[in-house]
Amino acid sequence: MSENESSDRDLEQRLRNFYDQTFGQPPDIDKLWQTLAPNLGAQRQPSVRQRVRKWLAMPAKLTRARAVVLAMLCLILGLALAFSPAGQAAAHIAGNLQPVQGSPSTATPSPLPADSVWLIDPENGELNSALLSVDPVSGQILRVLSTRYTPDSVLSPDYKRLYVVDTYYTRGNRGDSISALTVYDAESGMILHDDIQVPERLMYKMYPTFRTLFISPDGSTLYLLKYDKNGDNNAVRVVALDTVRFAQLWEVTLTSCDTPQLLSDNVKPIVYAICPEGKVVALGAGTGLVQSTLKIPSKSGQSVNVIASVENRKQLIVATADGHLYGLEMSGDHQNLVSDHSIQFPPNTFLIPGTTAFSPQGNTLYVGLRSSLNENGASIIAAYDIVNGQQRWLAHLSSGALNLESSNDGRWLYAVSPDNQSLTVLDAQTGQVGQVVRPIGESPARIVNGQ
Amino acid sequence: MDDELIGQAQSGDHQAFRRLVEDYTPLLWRVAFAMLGERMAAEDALQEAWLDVWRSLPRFQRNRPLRPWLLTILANRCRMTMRKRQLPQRSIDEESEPAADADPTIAVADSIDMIQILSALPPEQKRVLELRYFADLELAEIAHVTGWPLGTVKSRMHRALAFLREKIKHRSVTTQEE
Repeated sequence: MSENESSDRDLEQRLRNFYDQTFGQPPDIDKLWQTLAPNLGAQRQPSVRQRVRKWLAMPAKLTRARAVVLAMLCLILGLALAFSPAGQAAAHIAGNLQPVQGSPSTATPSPLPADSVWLIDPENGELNSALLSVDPVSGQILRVLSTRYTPDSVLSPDYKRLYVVDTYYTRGNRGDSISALTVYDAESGMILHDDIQVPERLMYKMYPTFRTLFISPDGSTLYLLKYDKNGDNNAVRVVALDTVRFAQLWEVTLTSCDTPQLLSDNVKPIVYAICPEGKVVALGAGTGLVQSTLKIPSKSGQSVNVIASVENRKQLIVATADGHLYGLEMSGDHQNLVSDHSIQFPPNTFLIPGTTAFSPQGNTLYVGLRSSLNENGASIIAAYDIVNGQQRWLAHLSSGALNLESSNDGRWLYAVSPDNQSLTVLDAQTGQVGQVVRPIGESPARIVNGQ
Repeated sequence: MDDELIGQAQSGDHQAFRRLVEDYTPLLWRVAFAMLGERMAAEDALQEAWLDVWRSLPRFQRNRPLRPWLLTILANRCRMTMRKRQLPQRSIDEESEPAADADPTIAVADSIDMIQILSALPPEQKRVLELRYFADLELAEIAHVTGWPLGTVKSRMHRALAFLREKIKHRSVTTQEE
């Protein structure tokens, strides 16, 4: 052994001894287990296999659940028979089989155990905040991701990645503020990319009542809102980043537009920026160049307040607070207002601009309303048909809502309330209020979606 | 052995899970401590990581090795803790220079010497040493938990050891002269 090798080994041993003496020993296993054990029962979602095994191991008496499952098995067998040549006649006799209602699907489907919803919890505007994954059926919090000041988030269209922007200070609550983008694996919660700097990103106060992060339908481009360089509060910058190297593709400043909603055209390479003030700007998806601009007319003479918009393959549908649903066609230098339907909001109610959503197919508008100015958030949800503006249903929420989001299949409507720390699940077809999950986190304020 | 325990824990056996906790807590705690530099924070991260493990176990593929999977989950928790504390993160390309040599006024014991020498190391190099010699991780595992490329881990380790050797040699010469 050479002198150098021996000296290296001495040094390594010296380091080991030093660390062992200085850093101490691992925690006592019994104490650690006392902390872990009470949490294990509630934490685990049994797998399908385990549920089936447990069910099979149950005593043989015919429980109600067994009866339901047996009925469903019979139904499946019946359907299988119906599609076989020999079973055609039997299926004919069976007549009209009603579809069986399953558990709610979700705005954020495949990640984690299927029916989970990601919520932004800004923890009442604290420096530390969280993203929560919640199972709307069991009410369990499945995963908690630690985030920092004023987080915003969007899921990739395939629901595999979760993009999060937030801000932190280099010395606690002082020092330089750094805004960063983090990319998580939505299924495992693992950090894939961290600390991608996004300086001057637009931040909200207390609750995320508007969105600052959007994604293209193919998942290749993120759109982020930033403050105007000249400090104009009525202007905003839209920045496009590619989702591989996170390089900036383009940047455009929108004037007279403080918190636009961005929507990608499903067919044409266009991104629409819909400004609350009623201006709609069509931007080239690859260049950011303004292709056309359209100003929604004000019927009341007051400023237009856009409350929601959706691209439904045929038109861009825009809903305004003065009770109009406009259909717009925009491409290149061509822009048209092709339809206008009135919506009748219930009397003596007040609109909450951020509490609106469209169904995924773009045929229903959901609006959050409050019946008195003293209420925080919405206590009433109304659904309207966008073809004729007719009200479909009205639902009263005991737990309130600050944000609404439709499930990806359009069967369910989710509502979150930071004041009541709740997530409410409604049947999107009837407005019937189902599961109310509470309490969740500190102040869950928005549902993350994949658009 | 692990395989059997994992299988039992996957089906909800608390005792089997406890055995895994017993077997792997020393390793995971050392890694957490090396990454966070604080006992309380390390214990919190360790608890959170074990709960993550319990939640994720049903989806763990038993033909995969357990240790790297556990390290990944723990490293993720540690990163979240670091983010929560708003520690400034450094880019992997941003290599810090060693700080100016501390001027020791008291150097009576080996450990005090070592504390002073180590405090002069850049944080990234210190973390590599701690993960290697306190947590006993292989270099590839260090790369895995820190997210740094293996080449960067090796160079940081090399620079840290060279720096230590130099400082220790310098001190022994100074002591002999005195």
